[in-house]
Amino acid sequence: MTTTDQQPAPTAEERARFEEVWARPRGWRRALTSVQHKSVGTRYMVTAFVFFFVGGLQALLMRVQLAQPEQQVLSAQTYNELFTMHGTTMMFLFAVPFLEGLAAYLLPLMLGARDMPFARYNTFNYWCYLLAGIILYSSFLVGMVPDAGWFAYVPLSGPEFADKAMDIWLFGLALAELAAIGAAIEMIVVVLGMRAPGMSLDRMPIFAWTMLCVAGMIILAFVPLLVGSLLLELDRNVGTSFFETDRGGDPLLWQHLFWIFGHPEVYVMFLPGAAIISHVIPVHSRHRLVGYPFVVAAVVVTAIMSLGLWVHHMYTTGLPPVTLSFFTAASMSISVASGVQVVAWLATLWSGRPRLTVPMLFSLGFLFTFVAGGITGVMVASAPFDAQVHDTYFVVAHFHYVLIGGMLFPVLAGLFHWWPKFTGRMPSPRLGKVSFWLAFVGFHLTFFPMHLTGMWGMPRRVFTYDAGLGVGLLNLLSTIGAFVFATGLVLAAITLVGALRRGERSGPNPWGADTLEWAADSPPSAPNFARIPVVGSRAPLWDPPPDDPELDRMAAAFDHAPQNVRATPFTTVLSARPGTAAVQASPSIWPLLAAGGLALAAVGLLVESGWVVGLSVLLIVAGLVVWELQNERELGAGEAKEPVGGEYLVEAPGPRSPGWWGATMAAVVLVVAVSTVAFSMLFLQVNAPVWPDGATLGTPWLSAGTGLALLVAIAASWWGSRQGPLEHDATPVARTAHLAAGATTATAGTVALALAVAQWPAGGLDHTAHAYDSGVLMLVGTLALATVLGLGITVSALVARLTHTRDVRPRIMLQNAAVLWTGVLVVWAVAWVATDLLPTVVV
Amino acid sequence: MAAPGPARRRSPALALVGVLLPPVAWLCALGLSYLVQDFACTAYASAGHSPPATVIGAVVVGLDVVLLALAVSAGIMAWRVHRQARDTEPSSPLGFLGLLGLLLSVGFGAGIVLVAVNPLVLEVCA
Ligand code: HEM
Ligand SMILES: [Cu+2]
Repeated sequence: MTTTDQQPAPTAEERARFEEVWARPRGWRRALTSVQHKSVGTRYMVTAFVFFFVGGLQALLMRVQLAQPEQQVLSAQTYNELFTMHGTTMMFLFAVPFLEGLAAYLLPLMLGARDMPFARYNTFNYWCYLLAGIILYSSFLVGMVPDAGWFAYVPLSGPEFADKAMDIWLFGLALAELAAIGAAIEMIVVVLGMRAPGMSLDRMPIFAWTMLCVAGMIILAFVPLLVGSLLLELDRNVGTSFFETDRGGDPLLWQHLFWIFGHPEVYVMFLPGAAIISHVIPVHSRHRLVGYPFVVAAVVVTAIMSLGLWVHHMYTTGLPPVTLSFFTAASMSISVASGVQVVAWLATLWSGRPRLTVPMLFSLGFLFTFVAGGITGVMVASAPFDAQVHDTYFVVAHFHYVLIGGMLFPVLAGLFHWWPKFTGRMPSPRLGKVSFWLAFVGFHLTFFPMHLTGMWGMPRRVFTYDAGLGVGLLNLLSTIGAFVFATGLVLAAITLVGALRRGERSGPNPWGADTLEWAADSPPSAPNFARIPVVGSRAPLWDPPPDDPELDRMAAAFDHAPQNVRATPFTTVLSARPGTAAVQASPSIWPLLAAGGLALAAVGLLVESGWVVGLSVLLIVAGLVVWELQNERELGAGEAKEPVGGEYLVEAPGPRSPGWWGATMAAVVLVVAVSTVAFSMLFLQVNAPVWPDGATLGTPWLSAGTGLALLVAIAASWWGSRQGPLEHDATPVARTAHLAAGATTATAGTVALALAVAQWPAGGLDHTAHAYDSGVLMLVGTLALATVLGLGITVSALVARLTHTRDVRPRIMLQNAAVLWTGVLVVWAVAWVATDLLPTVVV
Repeated sequence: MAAPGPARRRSPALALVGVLLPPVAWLCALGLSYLVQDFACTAYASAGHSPPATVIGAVVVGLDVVLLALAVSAGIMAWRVHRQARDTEPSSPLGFLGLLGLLLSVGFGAGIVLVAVNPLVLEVCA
C-alpha cells in the first residue's frame, strides 16, 4: 500500500513488539485479569445466557404447574418465588447485561477502535454484575427466596411483610444497576470519542447510534431505581419512612421510582434489538438501510419519549384521568416512532434481494411478533381497556410478545449473524433453521392463548385456577408450546456451540457485510485492527476508501503502533477528525478486588457483621488505590515516548481525552441521583396528609460553609489544571503549583465533607420521625458520598503528580477533578433547595 | 479549503441546538403539564378548596403552546443549517444533523400537540 506520507511501513521487529504489548494473558490469568473488550463482552454474554437458561427453567416449572386446573405440583409460595426470580433474572441478569456484553464486544470493532475507553472499569462492571447474580441466587441456598414480584411493590416488599429475602433482592439489584450505569458511561465515551478517523456522526452504524441513546436512557432511568432501592433498604433496616403513610411517606413513591426505570427498561431492551435488525436486514438483503436519518430520528424519539411514559403502568392506582391522558398521548407518539423503523426495514427488504439465511429468518420472526406485540400494546395503553385486563394473562402475553419478539429474536438473529465474527466458524444453517421454526412456533403457541385466558379473566401471579373458568385447554396449549419453544432455544445453543468445533471456516466477511467489524480477522486479533481503518461513508466496506491525506496520516501513525503501550486514536465528536491517542488499559486483577469488596460489603450488611463490612471497605479502598497506581504507571509509559507518529499527543486536556468524559459523566450521574431524591421529597410533600409545618433543616451557616468550601475546591483544582506547559518536549515547571493546588483542593474537600456531615446532628432531626427527616438524611448522605468521590479523584490527581515528571497528566487530572467538584457543587445546591427552600415555598 | 467564516463556525452550535431543543421542549411539555395539573389539583384538594380548573387548564395549554413554538423554531433553524451545509460542504455531518433536527422537531412537535389537547377535551381536575 502506498501512502502519501513519510511514515515508513512498520518493521518486523516493530510488529512483534506491537503484538507483545497487546498479547492476551494466558492460563488462569486470562480468566481473572483480562480486561480486553472482547473477553469482557464474551463473559457478559455467556453469563447472561446461563442466567437465561436458569430463568427459562423456572418458567417451564411454572408452566407445568399451570398445565391443568387445580394442580398441586408447586405450592403457592414456591410459585411466587419462581415468578419473582424468573422476572428478575430475565430483566436484570439476562436482557440488559447481554446487550451490554454485545455492545462491549461489537462497538469498538464497529467503530474501528482497539478497546473500550476505560477497559478496567468495564471489567469492574462485569464483576459487579456476576457477583450481583451470585448474591441473588444465593437466596436459594439460604432458603430465603424473594417473592414480591419483579417490581417488588411496597408495602409487600416493606419491613412488615418481607423478610431478609427482600434485602438479598435489593442488594443484588443495586449491584447490577451499578454495573449497568458503568457500562452506559463506557458506551457513551466509546461512541463519542473513539470512532475511526472520518466516521462522522452521519456515518455511524445504527447500532452505535442506538447504544448511545440507550446509554443516555440507562443513566437517566437506572439511577432512580438505584436510589429507590436504597430508600427501600433504609426503610427496611434503618427505620426511615419514605414509603410508610403514617409518617408522611407514600407507597406510590416506590411505584413511581420503579417505573421511571421499568418502562424505559423495556426500550433499553427493544432498541438494541431493533438496531441488530437494522444491521441484519441490510446485509442479508444486500441493500443499504433505507431512510437512515429517519431511523436515527425514530431511535432518538423512542429513547426520549420512553423516559416520560412510566405513569402508564400506574393507570389503576387512582391517578386523575387528565394525568393519565398525558401519558397515553406519549405512548401513541412512541408507537409511531417504532412504526417508522418497521417501514424502513420493509423498504430495505423490498428494494434489496433478501436471502433466507438464519439471521434473516429470526429478523422476520421478530418483525411479525413485534408488530403483534405493538398492537396489543396500543390496546393496553388505552386506560379503559387496561382497567379491564390489568393484572390478567393478557398483560403477561403482551409483555412476552414485546420482550421475546423485541429482544430475544433479534439477539438470536445477531448471534447467528456475528457468530462467524466471534468464532471464525459458520453455524450450521440447517440446524439453525430448524431451531428457528421450533422457537417461532413454540413461542406463539405459548403466548397467543394467554391473550384469551387473560380476557376470560385468568389473573396473573396466581399459582392455579379454577376448572370452572374454562381455560384448561388453552393453558395446556401454552405449556406444550413452552416446551417446544425451549427445545428450539436449546437446539439453537447446540448449533452455535457445535459450530465452535465443526463449523466451516468463515473468513473475515462471510456475508459480504458493510461495517468495520467485518474488516477485522475472524475471530478478531487482540488489538482488532493492527492498522486503523479510515472511513468515508456509511458502508465503509462497500464503498471505496476516502481520499483524505489527514485521515491516512493518522492511520499510518497507528500502523502497528504505538509499541510501548496499548493505545487507539481519539477523534473529534462531530466529524471524527484525528485528535489524540487514548491509552488503553493492560490486564489487571484490581477491578476484581474492588468489585469483590463491594459484594462483600453487601454480604456483610446482609449478615449484619461489622467486621465483614469493615474488611470490605479495606478491600475496596486497597483495590482502587492499586488500580490507580497501575493507571498512572501505564500513562507514564505512554507519555515517555514522542507523540504517536510524531503528531498525536498521548492525552490532552478537555474533551480530547477519555478522562474528561468520564469525569463529566460521573458528575451527571451524581446530579441525577440527588435530583431523584429531591423530587421524591417534593412528591411526598405534595401528597402527604401530614407534613411538618415549614420544616427546614435550618443550618444555614453549615450549608453555606459547605458550598464555599466546594467553590474553593473547584477554584483550586481549576487553577492547578492551567499550570505548566502542554507540549510534550517542554521542561516541566509546575510541580509545586500542582502539589499546592491538589493539597488545597483536598483540604477544601475535607472541610466540605465535615461541614456537610455536621449538618445532620446540628439540624436536630430524627430520621425515624417523619419522611421529611428521612429525606434530609438521604440528601446529606448523597452530598457526603459525592464529596468523597471528589476527594478520591483529587487524591488521584496528587498521585499523578507524584508519579509523573511531565506536567500534562497532572494538569488533566486536576481538570477532571474540577469537573467532578462542579458536579458536587450542583449536588449541594439541589440538596439545599430540597431541604430548605421547597418546604417553605410549596404549600 | 477557505478559512471558516463566522457563519460556518456558528453552524455546528446551531445544528446541535436544532437537535437538542425539540426533545427538551417535549420533556418539558409532558413534565410541566403533569406537574402543574397534578400538583395544583392535589394541593387545592388537600387544602380543602375546590381547584380553579379553567385557570389550571389554561396555564397548561399556554405552556404547551410556548414549548411547541420553541420546538418548531428549532426545526426551522435546523432546516436552514441543513440547506446551507448541503450547498456549501456536502461531506460535512452538519447537513445530516440539520435534517435530524428537522425530523426531531416534527416528531416531538406532534408529541407536544398530543399532550396539549388533553386539558381541552377532558375535565382538568376530575
Ligand atoms: C422461555 C420462555 C418463557 C416462558 C415460558 C415464560 C413464562 C412466564 C410465566 C408463566 C410467567 C408468570 C406469569 C404469572 O403467573 O404472572 C412469566 C412472568 C414473567 N416473565 Fe416470562 N417467560 C419466558 C421468557 C421470558 C423472557 C425472555 C423474559 C424477559 C426478557 C420474561 C420476563 C418475564 C417477566 C418480567 C415476568 C413477570 C414476573 C412477575 O410477575 O413479577 N419471560 N413468564
Ligand atoms: Cu411501559
